[in-house]
Parts: sequence; C-alpha cells; structure tokens
Amino acid sequence: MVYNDDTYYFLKLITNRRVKILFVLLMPLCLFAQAQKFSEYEVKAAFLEKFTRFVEWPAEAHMEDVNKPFVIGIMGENPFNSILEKMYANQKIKNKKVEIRYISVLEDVKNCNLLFITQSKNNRVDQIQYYLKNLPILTVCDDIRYSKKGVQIMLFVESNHVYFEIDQNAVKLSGLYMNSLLLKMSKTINTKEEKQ
Amino acid sequence: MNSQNYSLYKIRLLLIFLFSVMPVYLLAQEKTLSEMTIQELMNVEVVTGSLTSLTTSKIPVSLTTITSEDIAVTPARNIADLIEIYVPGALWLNHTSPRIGIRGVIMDRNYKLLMLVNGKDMNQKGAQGATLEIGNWDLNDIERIEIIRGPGSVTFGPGAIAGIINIITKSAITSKGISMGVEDNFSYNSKGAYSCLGYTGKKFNLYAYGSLHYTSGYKNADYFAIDPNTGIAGYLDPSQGAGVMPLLGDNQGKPQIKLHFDANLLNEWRLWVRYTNSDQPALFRQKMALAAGEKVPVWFTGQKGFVTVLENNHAFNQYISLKSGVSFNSQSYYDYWVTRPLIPYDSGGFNSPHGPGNIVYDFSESHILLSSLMNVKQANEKYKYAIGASYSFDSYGPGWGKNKMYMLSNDYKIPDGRYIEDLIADGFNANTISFFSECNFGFHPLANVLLSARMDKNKYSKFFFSPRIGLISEVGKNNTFKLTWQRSVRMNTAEELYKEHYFNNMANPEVLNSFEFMYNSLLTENFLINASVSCNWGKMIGFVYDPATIKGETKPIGDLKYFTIEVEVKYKLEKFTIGVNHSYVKQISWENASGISSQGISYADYNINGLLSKGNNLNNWANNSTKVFTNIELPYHLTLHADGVIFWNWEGYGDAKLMYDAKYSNNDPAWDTLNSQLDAENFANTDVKLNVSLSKYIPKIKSTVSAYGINLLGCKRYSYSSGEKYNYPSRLMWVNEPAAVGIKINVNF
Repeated sequence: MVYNDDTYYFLKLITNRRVKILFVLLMPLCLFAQAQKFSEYEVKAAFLEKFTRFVEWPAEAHMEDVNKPFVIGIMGENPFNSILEKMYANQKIKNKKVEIRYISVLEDVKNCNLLFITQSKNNRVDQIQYYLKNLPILTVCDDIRYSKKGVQIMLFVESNHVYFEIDQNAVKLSGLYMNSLLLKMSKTINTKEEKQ
Repeated sequence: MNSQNYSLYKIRLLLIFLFSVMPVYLLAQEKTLSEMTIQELMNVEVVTGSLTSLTTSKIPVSLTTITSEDIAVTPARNIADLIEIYVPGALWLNHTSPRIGIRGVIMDRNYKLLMLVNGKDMNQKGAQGATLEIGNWDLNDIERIEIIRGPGSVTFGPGAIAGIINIITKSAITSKGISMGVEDNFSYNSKGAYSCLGYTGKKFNLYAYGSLHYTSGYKNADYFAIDPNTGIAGYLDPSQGAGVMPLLGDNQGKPQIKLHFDANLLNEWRLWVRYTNSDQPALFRQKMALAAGEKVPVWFTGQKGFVTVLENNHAFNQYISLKSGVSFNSQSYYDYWVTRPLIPYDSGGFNSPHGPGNIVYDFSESHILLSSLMNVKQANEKYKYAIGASYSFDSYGPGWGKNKMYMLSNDYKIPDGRYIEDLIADGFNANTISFFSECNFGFHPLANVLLSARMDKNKYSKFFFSPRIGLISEVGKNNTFKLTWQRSVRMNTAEELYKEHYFNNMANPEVLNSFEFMYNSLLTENFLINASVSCNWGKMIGFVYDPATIKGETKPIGDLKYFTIEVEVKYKLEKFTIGVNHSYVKQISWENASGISSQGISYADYNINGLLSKGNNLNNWANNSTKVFTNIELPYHLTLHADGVIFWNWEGYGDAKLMYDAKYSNNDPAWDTLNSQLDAENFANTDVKLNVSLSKYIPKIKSTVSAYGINLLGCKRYSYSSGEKYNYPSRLMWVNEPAAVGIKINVNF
C-alpha cells in the first residue's frame, strides 16, 4: 500500500513509544469541563453557614460575645477532609471566628453551637440525643436514620443537588428559633404528628 | 519522506492539538460557594465524592473497609487475621510469615498483593513483597483498612494482582487527646502497651503513637508434618530434640515496636514518619534447633522498616489542585535457615561457597520517591480528570548495620564466569518511572465510562502498561451496576530483574486480565447487598536458571484461568449489626508452559517423580468460604461481638492426595497408612473458626475493657504448598491453632 507523506508520518508517529506515553498524559486534557461543579461535601459545608443566618440562639448561648468562637462540631468519621477548615478559615458566623472541632467524646458536644453528625456507623443516636436534650445546639446530619431521631436538619442529595429537611419539633425542643423563610425552603418533617 | 519533513509534521500536529484544547481552559469566573444564597446552593450540581476518591458505590472495584471500631471489638492477632475475618474470599497460610491470598491468588511470597500505608507503597521490592505490618500484634494505630479484592495495578502500581491492602493510620483529627492501652493474650503470652497523643490547633495538627509488644508464642503447639522420604506422619513431639517452636512468638525475644508521627500544617502540608518491625520464626518449619548452644527456630525471618513522607495538597483555585509528595522508605530484611545443609556448588545445589551457608537473605532496600497528582476539581456530570507521574530511585545493599548483602543466594554464574553474588556484594541501584491518568465520561447516570491507564518502567524491565475500562450505571438512588475490564501487571522482584540483566535479558511482567461485574444495592436504609462475578486469565511467570547453559531468564510457568463469585449482605439496626459474605473461587483451567513439569499453583497439569495431573483446582485454596460477623449493643454500655469463618472444599490439597493415591494405591502400605491418617485428621475438609468478644465502655473514666476468645473451636492453619515432588506429600502440613483468650484495656483522656 502506498501512503502519502502525511499518512506515512501519522502512522510513524502513533506507533512511537514516546508518543504513546504522551497520549496517556494528554488524552484527558481534551475533556475539560466548562460548567462550575463542586463536590457533595463542599456544598454541604457551605450550607452550614447559610443555616445559621436563619437561626437565633437563646441568651445562654452567648452569641453576642464575639471573642468566643462559633464552634462547629463534627461527630463521627469526617467526610469533609479539610474542606471545613479551608472554607471557614476567614469566614465568620454570627460575627464570630469559626472553630472546627472533631468530637470523639460525647460530653464535648455541649461546647458546640452547631453539631454535624456524620454517617459513621458507630454513632449512637440515642446517646447523642441524650446529651443534646434541651441544649441550644443546631444539629445537622446527612444520614436518613438520624433525621427521624430528632436531628433538626437533614441534608440529602437528590438528582445531583443538595436539599434539606427540617424537623420542627426537634428545633422547638432545642430552644433555638428558626426563621420561617428557612422552613419554606425546606421539606418539613413533623415527627410528633406522625406518631399521633 | 525525509527526517526534516517528519519534524515539521510533528510540530504542525502539536500546534493543532494545543490550540484545540487551549480554549477549554478559558473558564468564566463564577460565584464561590460562600457567596451563594441557599437557593443558589440548591441549584448547584454536585459530584458525590471527590474526583480522585469516588464514593464507594461509584469506584469500579470490590472494596472492603475494616474500621477502627471493627478492630476494637474483633479478636485478631494481626492484620492477616482481620482480613481473613472480614474480606470475602481472603485467607492466609503459613510460610516464613503469613501469606495472604485474595480471590484464589496466593504465593509463597506476598508479591502478588500491594501493602500500602496511607496510600504509600510499602512492599519490599527486592524479593518478598508485602512483609511489613502483616505480622504485627498491635493494631491500635489503625483508623481503617481498605482492601481492594482483585487486580488493581492501574491505580496503585505493578504488583497488585491479588489485591491491595491500604492501612490508613489514625490522625489528630480522629484521635484527639491522649489515649493509652494495654493488652494481654494469655494463651500466646503476648503482652503489649501503646500510647498516643493527638493535638489539633488552628494551623496544625499533631499525632504521635508508640507501641511495644512482646510475644513468647503459644508453647507446644500441635504441628502436623510428613517425612518426605518415609511417609511417616504425625504431630511433632515437643520433647524430642530441641522441641517445637512457639507459635507466632517473637524470634529470640525481639519485641515488635511501632512508632508513628503525623503532622498537618496549614491544611496543606503533611509530614508523617513511621517505624515498624517484627521478627518471627518461619511458620512452616516447626522445630527448634541447637545452634551455638542456644535453642533457635530452624528458620526465622525479620523485617524492619522506616518511612518518611512529606506531602502537599495545594488548591490553585476551586478547579485545580495538585498533590505532590516526596518520600524516603528503607526496609531491612533477613531470612536465616539455621539447619540448611551445605551443598557444594558442583552438585548444582542452592548454597553458595562464597558466604555463610544458612543465610537465605540479608539485605536492605531504600527508595526515594517523587510523585505528583493533578486533580481537576471542576467537573460536571460528564467529565472528571486526574493525571500523575512518579519517579523512584531504588537502592539495594547490605542489611542495616551489616557489611555484606545476601540476596541472590541462588548461586548463579553469569556467562563471563563470575558469580552474581560477588557482583552485588556491595549492592546495586535501579530506578522506576510511572505515568498514570484517569478520565470519567458521565454521559448519563445509566452510563458512566471510566478510562484509566498507567505505564511503569524499571531500569531493568520493559515498559509495563496497565489499562482499565469501567462502565458504571446507577439505577435509581440505591442501585449501582459496574462492569470493568482491566489488565494488571506484576513487575518481577528486583532480585530477579537484576539477575536477568546479567543474562542479557529483560523481563516480561506477569499479566492478569480480569472481567468483573459488580452490583451494589441499598435495598432499604438498613440493608445493603453487594455481589460480584469475575473472570480472570493470565500468564504466570517465574525465574528459571539452567546451570548447564549458564542461562537464566524469566519464563512463563503456565496459563491460568479462573472465576470468582462473591455475595455480601449487611443489615444494620441501631443496636444490632450482622454481615454475611460468601465467596466461591473455581479454576477454569491451568496449563503448564513449555518445559515446566511442576509448580505450586495447580495439579491440573503435573508430571514429576511419578506424580501425574489430577483435578482442576487451585492449590492452596478453599473453593468455598463463608464469613459471618455480628455486633450487638447490650445495656450498660456492653457490646457483644462474634465472628465466624467457614472454609470448605480445599480441592487443591485434595488433588495432591489423589496424585499420590494414583501413584501408590494398594502397593505401598506407608501411603495407605498416611492416607488414612489424613482422612482421620479431617484434612482439607471443612474448617470452622469462631471468635467472640465482650466489651464494656465506662463513661466516667472514658475507658473500654474488652475480653475475647480466638479460635474457640480450634482450627487448622495450613502451610503454603509450592507443589509436591518428593516420595511422600511433605507439603501437606498444618498447625492446630489453639483456642486463646485475652484482654484489652484502653483509656482516653
């Protein structure tokens, strides 16, 4: 078979070992996306601060004391990696610096203003609820099991978007006040009514 | 068609390529997450999991994760035990140290699986593969262990034929404060203590861990052995000679030490340093010997390793991040056969007149690794991308504190008449370069295509290419189907590559191809089911030396085809968890390569010393294994754990019996007696292992006390068989692992 110059050179090129290596390296460069997308836990991390804008803590939480940090506690295996530290390194909540704490001992949850309960299989919900009882702590989770156990806000992913559900009874028991605008944007669960 | 025109052509093509992709980089500036409203956040499309670590349901591998909570309640002596309890289709056998097998792939060296710590390859490349970490009693510094079942060299590098074991250590984030613990296994006389400190600050986190473990071993264990020449078999008499070696004890009283330090700085930098060691008698040589007036195991090994890793994970912007690292890893290994007979070279034996007769191996290896991985954080449903490269400088030399290297102890001459041992006495160097990339096409939730590719090249090897194609299909929210094809390679050991270099050859890798279909489903919020079917085929290799022609080369030893079926279910309530898995592994065919008459993989094609082919099964494997584990939360902060493993259909061992039966049946009383003995011992039949533990958490002092029992029903632990060739089946041996009890206490401050 007789090839023209370009065809000959092309065949010589694609059978060259160095070119094969270059192909492995460059192949994915063709496929850069144009739309803005984030990972699931980046978006969930961002939601935490948004929620606090619609929540008021009672006086005993001392939110007016800007010298004390706003403490976000993470209970269970950490799915955020270092996302929270990076996101809240320079961002304030309620005009307070944000401190991220990883809770390994249940008693430490009392020092949190917002508690995120992760999908760790060993989180004991009954024990967590016992310590949280009547405490002004905003509780958030992304595990459907906990949303029915009195955790106030549940984040969930549907069709590649993050939404949230609110348990109004759990909010009432905590002593927090939640703005109705947040309730309107959520899907609402009322565990007390379901039991009745 | 001259070279100048060719050069111009290449330049033209490159310019066209570059300009065609350039505009893709010009991305519009959009809002950050912090700037968005709640409504805008709900409009953001997310990728569940990150680009370089997909969520479990989406990565195209069969993955088992053992968490620190599992480790805390599971009665396990070492990582090999843990893997055997939880991982479908995994078991371990005795050899110089535990030999772990996954999905039917097991060898007399652990070089068909990769052992990683925090993603860092810890395999000994010189000769043995995974030696560090496996035999250590202390497991308290482990956050979780991720085990990938089946081949995976495209992601983790050459060597991942059977599977990958990745130990993720605890950090300051997961183990804040001070923790201490002690443990005592009364039956093995194994005592250990650990202490760790985790500190988290605004700019940095620190974690420090140290442990010390002494094990005398279980005395007077029941070792069953067969004399290869007479066929006389039975349990070794501890009162004879120098006695039998304590099971899983430290060799010559050398304790196991583990030290680990981990620091994170500015959320971007990570430095971790680790040291581990273990010295144990070879588990398949059961006796003690008198050497220089001292009782020592007839064969013992030891390994110690030090690694330091500095990593940086830098996000240039919200779209692109780069993970870079530099590491230094050094391991020292020795392997001494005290009673190894001195055989003169002329008779073609193994021993070298150039060195002490009882050293099989004594060397160290060091690696400096530079690596880089770029992640594209910006992704949509359609595309994800990662690309990376690494360079390793590898140095092989005398063991730590020694002045001569013993590695190529099979005393070979090279064509110019010199001995290889003399050539490498001071050591040798090599280097390895690797390139890897991955691309995900998310056309539709029903059709995600994953393309992965990796190339590796050692100084003494050819280029190795490991591709993978994966199709992932999500049906509804809770069902995922995955179909993959991949080609995994195993680079020969440095020892074999270097030998081959001096015979003017360059090694081909061992290759395993695998087709796997996986199904993951969350049937309800409490009920999970995983299933997989795989078909595997490949060419197994080995180093063959012919003293007559003074020629050594890596050659195929045979073609293997086999399939696996695994099913796993887990059911979890608030206070109760139960998991069950079953694995079935079956050889489809084994065919010896030309010139090979015996090997350790299968007796399906065999012809040596009157022993002829039998059966069609993998040697050293139980075709069926069923595993169950359960955790029950009781009142008063009590947790009851039980796990059980059933191995049955050790058909490969059964084929060995059939081979000898065919050779001797009805004309050798010694074989008839031995055969009856094996049947009476329930050899290669069904083995059942049962472990139980009861733990109590004491909230006031933040402590956990745990009492446990291991192997409560007693069980056999077989030794790896590299294939029978003697008059009687000397490779069919085992130890009856005793029931053992122990206690663990840990305190958190």
